[in-house]
Amino acid sequence: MTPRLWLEIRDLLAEALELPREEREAFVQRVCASRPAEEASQVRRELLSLIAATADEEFLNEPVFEQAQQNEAPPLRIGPYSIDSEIGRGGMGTVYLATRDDGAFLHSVAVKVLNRGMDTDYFVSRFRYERQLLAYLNHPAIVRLIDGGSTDDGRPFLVTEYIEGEPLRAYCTRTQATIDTKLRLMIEIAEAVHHAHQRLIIHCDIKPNNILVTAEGKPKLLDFGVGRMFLPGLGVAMLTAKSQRLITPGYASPEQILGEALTTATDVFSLGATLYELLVGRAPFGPSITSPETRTAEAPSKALPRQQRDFRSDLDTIVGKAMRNDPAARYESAEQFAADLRRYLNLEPIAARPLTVRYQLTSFVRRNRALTASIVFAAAALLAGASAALYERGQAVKERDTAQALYENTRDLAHAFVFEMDDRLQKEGAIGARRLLVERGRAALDQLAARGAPDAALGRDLVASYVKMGDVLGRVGAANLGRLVEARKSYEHALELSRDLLVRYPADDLVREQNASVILRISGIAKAQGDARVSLDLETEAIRNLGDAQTLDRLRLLADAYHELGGTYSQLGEWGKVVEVRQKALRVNANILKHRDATYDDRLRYVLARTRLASVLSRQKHYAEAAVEYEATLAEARAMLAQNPHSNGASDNLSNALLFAGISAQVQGKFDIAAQRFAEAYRIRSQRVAAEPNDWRMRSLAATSLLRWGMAEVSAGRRASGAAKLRASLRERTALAALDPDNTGALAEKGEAHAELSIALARSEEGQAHWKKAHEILDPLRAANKLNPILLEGLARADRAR
Amino acid sequence: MTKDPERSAAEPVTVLLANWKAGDAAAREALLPAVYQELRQLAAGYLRRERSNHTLQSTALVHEAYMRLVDQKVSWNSRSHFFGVAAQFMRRILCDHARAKGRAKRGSGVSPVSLDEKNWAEFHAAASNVREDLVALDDALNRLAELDPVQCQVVEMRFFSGMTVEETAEVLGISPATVKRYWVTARAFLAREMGAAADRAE
Repeated sequence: MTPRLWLEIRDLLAEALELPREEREAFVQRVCASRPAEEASQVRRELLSLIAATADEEFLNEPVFEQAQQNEAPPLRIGPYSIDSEIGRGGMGTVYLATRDDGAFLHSVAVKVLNRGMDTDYFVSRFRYERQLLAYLNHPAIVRLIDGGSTDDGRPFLVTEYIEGEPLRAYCTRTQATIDTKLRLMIEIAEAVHHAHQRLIIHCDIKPNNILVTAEGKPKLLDFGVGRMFLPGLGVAMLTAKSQRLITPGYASPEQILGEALTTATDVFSLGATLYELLVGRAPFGPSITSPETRTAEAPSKALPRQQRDFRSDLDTIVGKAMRNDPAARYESAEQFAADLRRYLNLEPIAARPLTVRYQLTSFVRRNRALTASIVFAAAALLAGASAALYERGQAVKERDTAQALYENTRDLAHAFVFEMDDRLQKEGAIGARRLLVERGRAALDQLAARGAPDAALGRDLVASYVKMGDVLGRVGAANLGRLVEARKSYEHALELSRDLLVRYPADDLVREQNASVILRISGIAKAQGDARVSLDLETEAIRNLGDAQTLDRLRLLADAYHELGGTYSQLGEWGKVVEVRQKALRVNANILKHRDATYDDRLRYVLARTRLASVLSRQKHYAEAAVEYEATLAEARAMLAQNPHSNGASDNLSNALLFAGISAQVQGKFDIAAQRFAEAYRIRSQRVAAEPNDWRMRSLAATSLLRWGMAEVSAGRRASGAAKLRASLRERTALAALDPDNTGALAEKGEAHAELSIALARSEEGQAHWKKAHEILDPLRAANKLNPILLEGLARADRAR
Repeated sequence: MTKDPERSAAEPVTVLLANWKAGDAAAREALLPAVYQELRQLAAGYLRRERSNHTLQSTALVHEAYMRLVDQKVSWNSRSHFFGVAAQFMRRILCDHARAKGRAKRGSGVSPVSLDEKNWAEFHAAASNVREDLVALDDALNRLAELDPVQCQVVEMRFFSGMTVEETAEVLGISPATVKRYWVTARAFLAREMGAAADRAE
């Protein structure tokens, strides 16, 4: 056969194979009829033999390697799970329904195991990564991780709850779901996605098949197999791969197809595509990869026959906004997507407008936290390189002015990084993002400073960036990562620079104020490390340096200094001094509120000052005065939180006031009231921990509330309940102490929990063990003079109870 | 901590892929040695670990080769191109091995030479579940390539690299409908040729 003849025969064969089997032969006879006899017989022979050869439908049907895999029987066991049946099989892994028999209970679970033959380094790490991601998530609409491990032949597996449900599309079809039902399901999914985004995880493969609906009608998002975490520092390897083969073209965002950086906006797109499919009955795009520019989806309402258009065109707008090609033009978060769907359901005007495509870079700081963090992250990755390159270019340019301009650009950029963006994030959490951001910004500033003695402005920026770094690492009294020694180093470096700056610019108010704020931070850490005497000196110096403060900023610093000093005196047990300093602090705070530009934060500080005064009054047994202060502060703190429910400051204030009011009630013997106050404080603080599990300080505060609650329960005669809470608190404090071995404060708190448990369980073997533990931990600290009076007193009570 | 499997970005392969995609046919040829080398090394490396029960899938192998060779910033369709290249090698690797095995069986005295070669052969045996008819398939594919090389490529990509119709269409620059047409007719051709070969052998 010649190639030319084959081409002809091939096309005829293709045509013939389109026909039903029984018509094929007639077709062959027909097309051969018009040909010369000899050629006709060859063509006929070829065609008939080729058609006959198609009888074996299995031939080459599966790719060469996959054949053996398909027929593999399910294993009997994977780890401790006995396998019941296969639920699903993908290219990468297989999911089994399994049972865990732990003696008492039988649990049905889903076990997903990496397919045999797929256990290359890449897929193994990818698989482990999914397990890590799931471990960070805890949401009713996200499948819950139960366990993980490796099979005998070394393949990783993960165990999740078993969802008895059906895929989203099938569920909607079978139940003939109304538009409203579909939207409610999408709202729940979008909220689950938002939950993941807040934990800096993007799913990357949202589609109807990855969502199951339970018999109760609750959706569950599955399969984070191609998801990723977009920040380092949280204990997992950062996998930046575009696992491109694993995307689903029908729902994939343009940036996924183009291999560009992915953000939370990627998931927003796929949420839109999923909603599209629910409304229209098919995916917005076909299964093949086409360039995003040429790929278009018809508006959902237009994609349906007229009689089926039973929704308002608002839904077109919502889907359209979620599915914009430009990620910046989509909904700013999955939550806002959900919010608009909710507005639609409530017949309210939706937020998306057909023409709100314009996107301004400057508006990003107003955006949702997770998205901000992701943009910040992408930008941070660029900064270090970019700033250096900018500067190098500037140096190469002859004109001094140009070099200067580039220098200023770089500084502005770094400045924006370290300050504006960080401030924004600070209000909203995301410590990992902050650390990265500040580190990168500071590196850029350092580079600039290395090129000569910095002027006042650069010098201040540099000092401030070291301060920020310290804040992220371990600022006492703010969200941080709990690395006090590292933080102190960063502050001390800042102080060194700041002192040098103050010598060169003694008249610069800003330099002077910055100097005081650095000093206060170091004193705060010294205190947390038990060096109250060092703190005392530093704080006294700061107050002296601030002198007769008049400006708002300086008043605020002064108020801070008094706060700190009060804390120091209480650590030293000089209670008379504490009352005096607390009263001064309250006066300064009251002066601040008289200022025209006083803010919400200033009010927060005023309330805090009042709480602290109340607490020391109570400590000095001025119970009546203290009670008046507490009632006032609690009322004020509740009002402020109600006014601004997302303010961390307001929630801090209320939980603080509750804690101190509880302590006051406790010492007066009003144990039930005390328990109530502590319980509420604990609830508020554990909510915060849930939102930001890496916030060391909040975890410590929550553990303290729990400890106090337990103590109040014990005092009220409810020993068992008290002991349970004390044990939980001990667990958390043990974890926290292990997190930062240099933090003697955390260690002392662990000792304190042992001491309190020994009281609760006095005269039992367990109590005895705790008493021993308490001494083991606290005795060396006492010897080093690092125990405050409260702890000493606690230990003494433990000794007496014995 | 798991090591980052995507770190070893090799710039040249990325550039070659981009150039090939942009229409530079020579770039494709230049790609071949690097891809072949990488596939071989990977396969040999996995074999040396001597894990029990080992069957490695071509898709996994090719994927890993891709991750190692190509800077991950390239776009989706460059990836398909890479798989297209790898397809040809998967065929060569498997069919050559099947041939060598057949010769060894018939006692022609041809045997693997170096240790590396030996590992390599063992890998095939372990990895591919090699079937005797791969030799016949290889011969039939050679005849098909004489009639229409593009159809031969379609088979390589679909069968040896596990690519979808859409991915194949992307790489070859033809429509998915055409890929389907080429695929069904090539299958018919191959089935007939192989059947005829089997008849002759009897």
